[in-house]
Amino acid sequence: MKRPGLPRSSAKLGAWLALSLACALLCLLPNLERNARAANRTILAVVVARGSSVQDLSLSALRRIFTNEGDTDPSDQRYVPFNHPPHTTDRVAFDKLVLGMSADEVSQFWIERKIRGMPGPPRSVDSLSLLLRLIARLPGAIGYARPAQLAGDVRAIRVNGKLPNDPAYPLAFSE
Amino acid sequence: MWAVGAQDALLRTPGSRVKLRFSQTALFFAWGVLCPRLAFATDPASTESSAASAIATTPPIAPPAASAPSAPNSDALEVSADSFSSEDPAETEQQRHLDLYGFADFTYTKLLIPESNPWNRIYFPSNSFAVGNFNLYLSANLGDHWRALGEVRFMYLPNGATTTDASTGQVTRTDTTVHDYAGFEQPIRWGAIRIERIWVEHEFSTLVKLQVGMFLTPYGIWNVDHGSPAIVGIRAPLAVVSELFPAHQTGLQLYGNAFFDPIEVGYHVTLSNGRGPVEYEDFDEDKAIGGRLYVKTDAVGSLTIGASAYRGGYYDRSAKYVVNSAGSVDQEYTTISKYQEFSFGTDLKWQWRRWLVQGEYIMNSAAFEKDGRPRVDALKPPQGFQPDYRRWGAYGLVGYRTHFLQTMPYAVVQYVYAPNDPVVPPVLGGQVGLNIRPTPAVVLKLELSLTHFTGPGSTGLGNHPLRFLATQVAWAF
Repeated sequence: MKRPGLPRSSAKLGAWLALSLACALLCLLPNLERNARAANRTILAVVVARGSSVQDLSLSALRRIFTNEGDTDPSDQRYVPFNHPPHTTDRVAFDKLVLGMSADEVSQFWIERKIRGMPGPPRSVDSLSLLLRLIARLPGAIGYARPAQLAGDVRAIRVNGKLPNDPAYPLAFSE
Repeated sequence: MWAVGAQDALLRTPGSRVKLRFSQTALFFAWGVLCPRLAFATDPASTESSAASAIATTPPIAPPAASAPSAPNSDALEVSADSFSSEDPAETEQQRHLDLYGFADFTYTKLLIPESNPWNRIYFPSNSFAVGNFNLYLSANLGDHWRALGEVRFMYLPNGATTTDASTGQVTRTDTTVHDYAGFEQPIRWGAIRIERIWVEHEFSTLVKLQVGMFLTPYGIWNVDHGSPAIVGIRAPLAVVSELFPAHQTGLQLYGNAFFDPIEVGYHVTLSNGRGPVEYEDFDEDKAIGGRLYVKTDAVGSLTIGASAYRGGYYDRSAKYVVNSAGSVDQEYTTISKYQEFSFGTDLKWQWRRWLVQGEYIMNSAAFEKDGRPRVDALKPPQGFQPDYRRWGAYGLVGYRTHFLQTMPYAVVQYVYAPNDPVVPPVLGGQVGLNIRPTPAVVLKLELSLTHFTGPGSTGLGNHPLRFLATQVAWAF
């Protein structure tokens, strides 16, 4: 007995549906991957005291500050940068994103600066809580931390006009 | 070895300054191997109590995330030094913090010329191991925008240095051997300490900083870089070695910079004794002035373009005691050499990705005053008086830093024309080499140097090419 076949139009529809589903999946996959990656995206907020007049800094200004070039804020207060300890995740990422240097290149940079007789690197502070308190209390102090870690009398500022929750914020990295 | 026990410091009331105190001193033993750093606080006794009271008033802060720097057991301030060294950026009135660091190098030079070439007897040290530089820096933040820096070089010299009697050609070697009274009269050779620079600086603002003391003349690139771990090649270019600008000056230096994103503009102005036979005395009271202007941008890699100038007088004299017409003792001077000089230089340094391009052009002209023209000490007649001269030199360097052991192959081309020294004809030189950084503080170098003279010179030495291979280990500590 001959099995009744599906009408030709139904088969065509099924094929189209399958194709559409495949296309949708293909389109969604990168998004899913991107979202998954975004979940691992780590942000470094640039932090100043709550009462500081600093609102926005360009990446090049940050580079000058963290290479101790002697930059001053809008109220003519000299910046006092504080770093995380060398070789910590956030420090390595910050050096790469802001200074464009690896850990070894940063060491080399400061060796050469010191040989030239120029000021040395910013202080690095081992304790995050202490780092944030320093930033809150020391005029001109500036540092960086993950947004979830911010507490007390400090606040994040814009970098290149972007706040940390902005998708185009420049100080982001994948761990 | 770092032994900075960042024991504690304190946070005072809001708005007050941070005191960073180091109660342990750096221990260093075995000079040249270990990296010494000495730090001390002026008032260690008060530190702990102040810290305790400060901590008591500190508001609670959210605990750090797992990846954040770990919080110490105590809530004391722990400020660690970065690799190599660190400076205190905060104003710390009561802190007296001395940083000791430096660099050294060890070189082997092998001449690649036939035995008949007279450079085998003249060029030194050849085919020898030699410790070249052993420079120690002493840096201190003095608080309230005051900073001090000293750099000294420890040398074997004058032992082994030679002087030549132009009239006879006799070469005399200096021997500093003495008997050590502390060691059963064991023979020892003494060396010397050369002060490279020593200054104190006050920063009025980023735009105005004033240094007083002895400083490296701010011209070009190489003269300020000068430390063997910081410079790419093994030897400075001839234009720099020839001191077309004086390498050091004693006096005042005003400098500063301003930022106009993405451009930085900076300046240096110097007022000094100028070039002279004695660093601490200006015989003619004719002060030298100089300066440098540079523009730097990070818009296309890191590009710096600068121009420098210097104008000053040189005066050397001999003296003898005489009895003057009034019957009292006086001194009478005889001029040995007196001239006015002008130097000018331009420089460029461009670092783009892993490429390095740098070059300098330097000129120097001198005009002798009447009766100030010295005799030329030429080994080969005719003898005569020193004419006015204009000398110049230039070099260009290209290098690429690879990922493999941070190795940089590089090439240098240089030229020097120095008619003031009749012995040395114009020189065209080239170097190719490797600059390898196994760690940030250690540099290994291998360099082949080829020198071609474009004339015989007064002694005929220019007829003989000079080629050598040198290898160096330079390290910062």
